[in-house]
Amino acid sequence: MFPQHSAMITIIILDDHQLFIDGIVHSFSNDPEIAVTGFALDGSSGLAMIGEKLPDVVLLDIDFSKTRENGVDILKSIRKLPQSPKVVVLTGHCEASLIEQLQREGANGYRLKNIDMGELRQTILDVYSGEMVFKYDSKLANENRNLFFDTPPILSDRAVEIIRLLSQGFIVKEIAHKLGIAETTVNDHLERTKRKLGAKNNAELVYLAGKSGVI
Amino acid sequence: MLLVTFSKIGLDKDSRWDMVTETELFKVIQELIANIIKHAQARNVLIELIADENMLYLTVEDDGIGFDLADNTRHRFGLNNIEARLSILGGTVSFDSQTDRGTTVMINVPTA
Repeated sequence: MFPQHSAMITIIILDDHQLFIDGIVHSFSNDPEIAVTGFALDGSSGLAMIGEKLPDVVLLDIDFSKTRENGVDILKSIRKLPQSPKVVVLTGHCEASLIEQLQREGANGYRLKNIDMGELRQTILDVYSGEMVFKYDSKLANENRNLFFDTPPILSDRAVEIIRLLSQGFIVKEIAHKLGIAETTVNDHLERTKRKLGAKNNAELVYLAGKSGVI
Repeated sequence: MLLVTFSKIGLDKDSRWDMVTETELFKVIQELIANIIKHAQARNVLIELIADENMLYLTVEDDGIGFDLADNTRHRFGLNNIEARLSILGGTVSFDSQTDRGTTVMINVPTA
């Protein structure tokens, strides 16, 4: 079914929707540059396949509802492989904290599933040639900031420590004293964290951090 | 090898600021990264840029050896240099560090 294409860009698709995979396989079936060499409907068999077939590019979904796997975790596992391919995340989720996490975990691309085949093809070519391709509606992504799917926002240990102390009723001055840092430093951490979680003030920050399981 | 990750919130590919802000911030980041390479023994650096209507929040965080904040940090991190650059922009800088737990440099620059 999947012949060897040594001169072509080889891709493997990890997605839990067969119809989506079929569509991509079909549209690349006669492509002169890109060959789909495999697919998997879940992360663990996908990882095994990547390790075996060593594709150039992996197209990775985020939600694997049946197996309760998460694309971010799969990405982390892919990055631990001795020969790690380029990874383009293809998902319906447009959410800023997810995108940030994917960047941090070393994804090479991020595209929404509403793109057409031409855009997908170009993304694969660009990522293969070494570009980072993250395209999304940043306004929408920020509006969705508080809709946590599987991925909590990334906060530093220090930020979490400070929110925890806030939740215990300490004020900024006391937190600064406790941690041996300046009040302005505590406030700098807080301003950043509020923006990451979309909180208007410290009270909402504590509430949102509690709700999302950060503290 | 140093792995640098860039994260951004509230800005897209087309976001620009005035030339002085962009140039000075570029030089500040350059200086911070050079410091990290020279002193921190870090494996990872996170450069994070958060923008809203009024401010730019730049964070440069490493996972290196850190330092005791009670030490003379000014000398060690070329803070004077960075503060001088930021004063041109009306910005501020703060440092957070713990021995063996990395260093975080937080810079705020007004953009409005």
